[in-house]
Amino acid sequence: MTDLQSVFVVDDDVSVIRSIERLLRSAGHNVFAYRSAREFLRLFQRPQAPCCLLLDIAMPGLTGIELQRRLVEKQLDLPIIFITGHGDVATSVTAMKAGAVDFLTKPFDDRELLHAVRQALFKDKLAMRQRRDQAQIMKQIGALTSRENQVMRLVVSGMLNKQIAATLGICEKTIKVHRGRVMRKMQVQSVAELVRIAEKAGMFSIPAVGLSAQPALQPEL
Amino acid sequence: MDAPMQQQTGKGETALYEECFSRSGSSPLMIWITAPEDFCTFFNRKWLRFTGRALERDLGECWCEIHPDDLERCVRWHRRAFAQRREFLVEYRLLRWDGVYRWILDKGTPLFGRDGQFEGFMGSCIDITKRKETEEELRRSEDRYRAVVEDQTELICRFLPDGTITFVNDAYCRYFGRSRSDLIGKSFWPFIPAGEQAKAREHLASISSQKPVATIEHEIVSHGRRRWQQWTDRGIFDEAGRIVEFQSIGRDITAQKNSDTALLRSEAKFRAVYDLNLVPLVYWQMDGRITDANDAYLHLIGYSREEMKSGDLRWDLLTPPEDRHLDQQAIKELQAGRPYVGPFEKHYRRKDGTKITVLIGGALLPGFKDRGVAFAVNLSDQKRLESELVREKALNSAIISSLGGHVAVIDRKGRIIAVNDSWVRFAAEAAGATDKVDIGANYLEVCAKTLRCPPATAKEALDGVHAVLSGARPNFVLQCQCDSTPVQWFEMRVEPLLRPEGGAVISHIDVTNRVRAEIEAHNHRLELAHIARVTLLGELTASIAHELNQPLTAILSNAQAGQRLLRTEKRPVTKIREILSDVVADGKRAGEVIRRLRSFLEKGESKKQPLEVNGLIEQTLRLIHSEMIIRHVAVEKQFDGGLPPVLGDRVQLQQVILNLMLNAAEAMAECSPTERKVILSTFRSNGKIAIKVRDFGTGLDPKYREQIFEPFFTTKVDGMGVGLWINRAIIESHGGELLAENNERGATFHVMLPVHQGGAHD
Repeated sequence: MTDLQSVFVVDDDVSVIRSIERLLRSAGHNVFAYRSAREFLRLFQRPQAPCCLLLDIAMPGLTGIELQRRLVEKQLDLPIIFITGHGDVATSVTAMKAGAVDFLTKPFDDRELLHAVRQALFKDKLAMRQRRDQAQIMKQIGALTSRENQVMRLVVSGMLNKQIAATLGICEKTIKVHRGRVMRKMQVQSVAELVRIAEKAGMFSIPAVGLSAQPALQPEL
Repeated sequence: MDAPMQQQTGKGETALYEECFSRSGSSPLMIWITAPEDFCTFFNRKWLRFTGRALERDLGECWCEIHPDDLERCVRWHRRAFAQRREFLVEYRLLRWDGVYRWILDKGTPLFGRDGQFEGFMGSCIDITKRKETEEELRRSEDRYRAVVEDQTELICRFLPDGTITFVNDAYCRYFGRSRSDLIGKSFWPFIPAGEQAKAREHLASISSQKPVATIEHEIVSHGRRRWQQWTDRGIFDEAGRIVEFQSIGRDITAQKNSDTALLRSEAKFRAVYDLNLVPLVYWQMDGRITDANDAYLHLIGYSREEMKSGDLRWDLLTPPEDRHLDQQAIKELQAGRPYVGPFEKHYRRKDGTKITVLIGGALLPGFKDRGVAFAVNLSDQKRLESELVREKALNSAIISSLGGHVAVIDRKGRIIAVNDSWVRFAAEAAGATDKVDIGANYLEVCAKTLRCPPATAKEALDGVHAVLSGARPNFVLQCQCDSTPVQWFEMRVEPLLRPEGGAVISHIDVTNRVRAEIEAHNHRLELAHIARVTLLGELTASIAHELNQPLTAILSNAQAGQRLLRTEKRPVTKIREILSDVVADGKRAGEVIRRLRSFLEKGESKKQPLEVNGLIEQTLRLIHSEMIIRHVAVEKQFDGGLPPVLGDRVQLQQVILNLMLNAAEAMAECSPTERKVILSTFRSNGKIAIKVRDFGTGLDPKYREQIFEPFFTTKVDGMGVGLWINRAIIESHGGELLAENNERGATFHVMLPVHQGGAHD
């Protein structure tokens, strides 16, 4: 928890906003309050530090659930804690499915709220780190030649050099050279490490570039 | 003829005169002569024979034989004539020798000598008694004739063959408006119009000794008008058989002539009526034949014209046997000389066998003894109407009698002209023995007593009756509470009698049970309205929770923030103060929610007060603010800021608005949240204040358009179906209207409320 971490609050009720703002500040959070979902959408810019959104569900105009959907659409990965006047099961299920961090029913205890906020901020921090790692890996992958990329995919899929050579129709010795370059470019020491990075990069879901025979790869996953 | 003069008359002179008149011994004249000194000097033998005296005795004094009644007149005449020496003529009665006075006409002539000197008078007398008597006789008979003639209203005249009138009676004078002297000696021809004169001359020429009397009718001109006269002229002939005079008796026959003309005209009229075919008319003969009939008659009896012409149609056979004596009676009367018979009622049997009642009347054709005309009017319709009228009267009187209410009928002045049994009983009860409120009494005077109500109500009732009687109001209804134990309610109803003479029907109906039932129903409705409100709030639980949660959330968060500040801050006072003030505000806010709810759930009598509609709606919207948010319904307000107040019950009107808002939200449950909108508008419309609640939902199902305001009608799974029913009842109890209609999309409910008239005072 650093001072840079921010909590965004969206509620149509002024006094509720004031009280939540006060409570969060007393707990050392940076707070930005908005009177409506539209106002938030218009003004929100994601800070570099971890942040989260405290969102009222029942609001005139755009509802909390609607705002959540818009944020997902915009791929703004922002942890959301819903606060609502009444615990409506159906709404809460929808919210949680769409990725809400928590669902608080008014009136709530300060510990409850602050815990949820901490959780959300932590989640955002992790997500930020993951996003940063992924960006690094993607950069490394980007540095691979297309042959090296092919070799790496086949390596992490668990093929032996001989099998890879057969698949690509080149000699085993050449495969060994490519493999060595991949390991160096990806800054890994072992195949296990390479697999983990590939997984992080979402390589298993990314279709192989210029790969003609894929079916053989899928079953092992 | 005094005695001294006698002595101057010589004897020789007397002889001379005697000689002169000796030849006239057989003359009828009696002669006397006087001397210039006026004494008799001579009487002839005739005179002396007449008087039976000797000459000597008569000489000198000759007046003694004259009738005393005539003497003075004779002496006067004689003296004057003597003085003037002029001829005179005098009549007097002279005593004859046998003691009988005879009428004498005496003509005196002055005598003059050769040299012209006056020598006395000579008188020649003649016995005119015979003539006198004849004259007298004539006069007497003339008087009688005159009396006879003048007493006549008939006009009598005599005229010469050339038309000169010689005699007219008073009636004649009166008739022509002239005096007798104006007429006698004039010709009557100018009285006869030129066109009629030839006829009249011909008529007079026809009179001869063989045919002395003839009658003529002609027109004359009298007082400038043409009139008809009938004259019977009789010729008076001389021995040679020539007409010397006519005696005529005439009379005015204008009226008769006119009636003759009228008869002609009436015959034309009869034909016109005949051809008009409004009245069935028939030409009949005594023997039973019908010679002609108009279409109306044929239609009446159901026969064709061909059937009539064939001659088989007989009036005597049209009459059923039991009525034929009526026909026979009528025929008998006509034969006895009555000009017409009837109208009388009898029956006809039509061709199709049906029997109808007719009113029939007949008359002989002028100049005929065996044929006539008759009319026959169908009375069956009238009979039916009469019996219907009787039935209706019976029905009406039965209805009035059977009415439980007290019914009295009054005339224009308020006098009671009819009452029912119930009124009689009631009147006896209500007014007691002293005041009669029965037929004949004036209702306006006893009104207050019969109603047994407070003076103000009685006045209202009386004004109402007056208003209906004068036509100022179409009717009048008043419900009043009687001064009785237990409390009784009466309804007084005044309906005008729609007849030219005016008047009204007044009924007093005991409505105690109805009023009780109404009060009970009213209480039930209040109860039900309350239940409906509770139910409404049931639907609002979620939003109520939300309403309370907001301030509670704020209070809790503020309080806990305060606790944290106390732990962490060194000088938290300023912030704590802020927090507390916010807490107080939120606490009040929660309290307000509770208060609103409680007042909305209030149970009891409705309290009407002047209300500002926009404010009322705002308050109501606060109750359902959260509900609208939860249901994601946008509320758009279009308020007219300058509306006058309405008189109403705040809670009840809130209930209506709330219910309509919830219905609107409900109607849009299936719509996409962005489309859920309610437009609430207020405005003035036709002198009323309108509140319009418009949604954009599914609209009203046309199948149920009429039913939505009925109790226990609902399309909701968990609805009670009393909402709209109660809404309408509430609005109507405010003198307003609640209407529903479909828009292009969704439905609109209109609440129309009357403007509070006493707004300025409240």
